[in-house]
Amino acid sequence: MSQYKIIFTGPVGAGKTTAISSLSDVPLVKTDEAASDMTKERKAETTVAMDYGIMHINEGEKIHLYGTPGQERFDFMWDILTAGGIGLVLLLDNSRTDPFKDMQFFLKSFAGFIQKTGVAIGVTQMDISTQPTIDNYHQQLKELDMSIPVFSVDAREKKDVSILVQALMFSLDPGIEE
Amino acid sequence: MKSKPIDRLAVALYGMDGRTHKTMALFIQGPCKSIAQIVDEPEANVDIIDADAMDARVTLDHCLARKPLRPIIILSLEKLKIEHTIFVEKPAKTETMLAAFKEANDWLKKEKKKTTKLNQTEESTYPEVKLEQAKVSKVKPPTEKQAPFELATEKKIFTNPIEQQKTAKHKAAMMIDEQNFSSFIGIIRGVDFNDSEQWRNARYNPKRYYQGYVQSSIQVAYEKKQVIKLNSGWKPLIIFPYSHELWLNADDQQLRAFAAVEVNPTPVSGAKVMTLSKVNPKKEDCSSELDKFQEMNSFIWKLACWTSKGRYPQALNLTEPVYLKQWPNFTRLLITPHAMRIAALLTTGPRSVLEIIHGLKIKPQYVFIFISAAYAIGILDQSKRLADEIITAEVPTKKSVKKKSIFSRILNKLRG
Repeated sequence: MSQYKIIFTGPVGAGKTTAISSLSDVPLVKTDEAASDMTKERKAETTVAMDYGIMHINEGEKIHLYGTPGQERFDFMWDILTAGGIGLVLLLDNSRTDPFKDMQFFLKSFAGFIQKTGVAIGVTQMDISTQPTIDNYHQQLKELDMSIPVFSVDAREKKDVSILVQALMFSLDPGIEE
Repeated sequence: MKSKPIDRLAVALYGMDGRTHKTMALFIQGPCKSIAQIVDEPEANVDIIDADAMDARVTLDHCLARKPLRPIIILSLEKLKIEHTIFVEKPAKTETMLAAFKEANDWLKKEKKKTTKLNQTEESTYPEVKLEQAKVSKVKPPTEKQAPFELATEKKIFTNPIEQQKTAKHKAAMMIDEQNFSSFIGIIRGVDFNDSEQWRNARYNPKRYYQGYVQSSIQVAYEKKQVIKLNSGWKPLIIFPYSHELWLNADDQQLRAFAAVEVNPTPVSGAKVMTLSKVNPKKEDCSSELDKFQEMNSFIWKLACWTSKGRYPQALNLTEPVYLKQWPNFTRLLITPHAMRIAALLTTGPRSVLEIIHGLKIKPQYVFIFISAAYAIGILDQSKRLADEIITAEVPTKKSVKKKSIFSRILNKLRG
């Protein structure tokens, strides 16, 4: 049986763990620890290794949902995590100081993987911080010559996360029949 | 002697990250006994700037240039003396903060006295603006330069509790499938979509519907940088250009019904034509019905869907390529059948509407309704570029059959 993965990435507190929980059919395997570094200013607990969830799509067939640790010092794990992945979901926290810088950092870090597969971006915390807007993100992406889905997302809402992953699937192949 | 109580001030904060912003909100609410309320920038009558923040000088210049009559309170660790500002040394103490608010309040009262006469004259003579049909066009949200109230260097954070209760705008997303399309969107009579010869007849002119009037009014609101009301003889619609929101005293069912009705451009004698009028948002009673606020693009998108009912806007040509500037923000929109497939296909390059229909092998109504909505919010247009001619109708795919199959199963799972 083939194994497929969808990777969730993004900075600390962007909602990766919550988004995976929204989709997973099994209780999430969390590896959160009390933050002891600069991360603690944004989140009391943070993912130090990875989050893991499963989506059952058929009898015995699973999609593995992996969340990367938000802290950059764990970026050595990202290559291992993405091996065999079918696409990337990048979650960005709009209330952080410079979400564009975060976006560029993650797009650059996963450039190889994105090139082979695809990416969809979910922007969280837009109810707390209304700026930048989704249009602003598209303007930034245009400068990078990228045209990818960017949606406002509430990671707690299964529907929002589901629409984001659906868009990722269609951007990988618009020919998929519904 | 008991001092005279001061009016509640509306303050906007600058140069503060989320955490400092929240701390300041609590400080004003608690020790300062809610003497002021933190609001979004356009609603404020006092600015508070953290002078120790990066770009504080630029922010101050912006504030002084934009609203020279608005009092500015400067918070800083260093003692500063800047003309036309009120200084509060950090760490801000309750007494000094209250004194600063009092000074700001006195300042406002003084300015109010000066301008009262002028305002009275302006309000009483402001004319109702008749809409000109010729003005109807796509809504173009203002660029940052056009929206003077939004600072590029500042992150705008809402902490106004009233604002946070406006949950309706976040619940706009709804996915409809092929089975529910006709019942939810409506039916177009007189066009047989099974006959491709008749597709060209499935066009409509948005200007002849409520959609056109709404789009035109929004354009006026952006151009005038003003909150305005569309008086249509139906339900009042108030347009808030700064927050990109609308307030409509009607539910979706009522809107759907009204959207489908052609508006008579030359009403019978005595009937009211659609007019625009200037609105003072503080006087309008919108705050008691926050669920009636809607995000601008979500509203126009669904209004265009219900006006189109599976037709396409007559300004677009079916045989010439159209292009999509960006993905629609689908989590906040009405998702019509195959909308995401169409968006995905168009982001790979411009295609004619007919090519999309044949390439994706879907009913024309689904493509027509998508292009109507995307055109209405200004993210889709007809392409005139020479390079577009090399695009073929084929759907690009690099994926193996095996992968296609897994993507399909993931979609089925996600859609339940």
